[in-house]
Amino acid sequence: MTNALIEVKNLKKTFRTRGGELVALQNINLRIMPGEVVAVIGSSGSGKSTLLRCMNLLITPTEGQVYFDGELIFNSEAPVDIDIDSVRKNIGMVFQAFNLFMHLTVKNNIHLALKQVLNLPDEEIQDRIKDVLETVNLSDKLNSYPGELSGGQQQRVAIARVLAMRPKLIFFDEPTSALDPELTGEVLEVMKRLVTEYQYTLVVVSHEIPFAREVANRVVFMDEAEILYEGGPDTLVNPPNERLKKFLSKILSTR
Amino acid sequence: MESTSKYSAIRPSKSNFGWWILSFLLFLCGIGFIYEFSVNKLGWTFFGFENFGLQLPLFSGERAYYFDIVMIVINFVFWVLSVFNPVLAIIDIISPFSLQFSPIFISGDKWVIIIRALADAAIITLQISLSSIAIGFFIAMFLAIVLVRPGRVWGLKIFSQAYIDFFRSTPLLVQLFIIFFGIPPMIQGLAIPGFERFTFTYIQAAIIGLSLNTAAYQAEIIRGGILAIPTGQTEAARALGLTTTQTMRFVILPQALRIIIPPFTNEGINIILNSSLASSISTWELTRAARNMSAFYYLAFEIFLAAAMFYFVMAYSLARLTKKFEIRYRIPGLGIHHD
Repeated sequence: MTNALIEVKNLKKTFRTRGGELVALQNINLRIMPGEVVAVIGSSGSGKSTLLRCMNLLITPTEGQVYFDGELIFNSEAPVDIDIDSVRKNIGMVFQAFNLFMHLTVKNNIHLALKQVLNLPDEEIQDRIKDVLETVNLSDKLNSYPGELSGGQQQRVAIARVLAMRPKLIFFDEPTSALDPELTGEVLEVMKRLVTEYQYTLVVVSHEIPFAREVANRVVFMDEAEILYEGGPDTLVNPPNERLKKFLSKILSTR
Repeated sequence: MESTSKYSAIRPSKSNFGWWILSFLLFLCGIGFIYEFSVNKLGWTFFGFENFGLQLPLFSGERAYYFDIVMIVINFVFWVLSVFNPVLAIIDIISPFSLQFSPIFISGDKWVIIIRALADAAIITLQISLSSIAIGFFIAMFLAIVLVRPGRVWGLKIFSQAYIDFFRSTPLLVQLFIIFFGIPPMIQGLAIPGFERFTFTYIQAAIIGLSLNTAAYQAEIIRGGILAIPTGQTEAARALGLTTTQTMRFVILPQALRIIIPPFTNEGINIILNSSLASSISTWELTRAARNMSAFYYLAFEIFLAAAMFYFVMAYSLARLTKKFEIRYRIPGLGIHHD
């Protein structure tokens, strides 16, 4: 039996607000195996993004344990002695708002982490930059600044920046929801290629139900801070659960 | 190998410009330093006159008039050159004898003397304020980064906050008095061997006071700039595996430093103008020179107006210079620009 790439146990996250405590996540148990494509769906505010951020510890969970590649990286009961940056370089993350470094060219956006985190020799860095930009079809934008690119191009650069790190798995946090409908296609296409050509492990938080149906081999439905249902992609065609059915019809009717 | 050269060939050659400017400034520094050092410290002579800054030959008639104009122009050129003279400023700080020379009332046309004295004093003003801005910037950077760092950094956060609160909430004049009149007797009272007769020179006190004061304001400016960078930038950097320090150095600060150029210019101008307060601890700078001169010649309006123009030239040049920086380091494709 192989190790799960990421495993979370009894995860809970609460935020302190003015009125009291807001429960963002509770009773979360999730295993992500190598090669899997997991789609996380659910209405906004159900804790999907928080779940992703808890898994690479951008947010510190309130309770529970997180394992990466069989190794305990977070435990709420006892502090774990681990270099979180060396874990994070194996977990790519693509954001809703792209979050490219605005003052750096496309090339330097990719260059930065390869140099500072992986400490690669220059020639290898150049090769990787060339490779990943070809993967996302943006070889001609090498010296453009992010502000000069369209949303879809920016998101593809963000994907390239993550790919250049050769991570073990990639989180996508609503990668297309800040994009025009006509631009989502080019991003989804790149994501599809990651799965079909490169066999990456992906965790995708998305409202793109057709995409999830086509690419994902597991669907996690979250509602009110909990995982409500977990199943294969066919659950999206024949929802076995009343809440899921309602959610899906709502989403699909607005499209 | 081939791929490396292929990529480096595409790089725009815009960084050359900075090197030209830098080497030109260094060149000016060198010339200014040699001139100032040889005249004021070694007492060398140029063009057969004893000392440029202090004495004028006496001619009569039309020839004297043209000669004075030539002298004013030459002196102005050297004045401009010695502005670019951080080396001299450092010598000034560490040496007990400084550029403060008093025997300005020697001979020649009184306006030549007045303008020359004001120009010399303006250099001291510029040295005081530029060094204060630079020293203050380093202190401010430390304070701001301590304040925005996540988590507790021993007592440093409390210290930084207290420092900023103190220096922003008390008058600069009082701070200068404390440093110049208050601190040396205190150090003398400690009876440390070698410090029994400790004093600050006027310029030292002015630079210390101004830089401590401006550090507090600059720290808040830098902190504001850092807070203006969207959280997403930090998130993305941390998610890529960069450490907190790397994130600060490569992602946050390069963007924040661009944002703070306009408020930073404000603070720089403030310091140039507020350095006039140093005249009340008898630092020989522009305001002090103007006061003495007007008392001597009874030309208060003209002399203070001339001093005001000197201040204007310095403050306005700084504003134009930083505007140039702002445009040059603007991030392509970002923000709204009308020029």
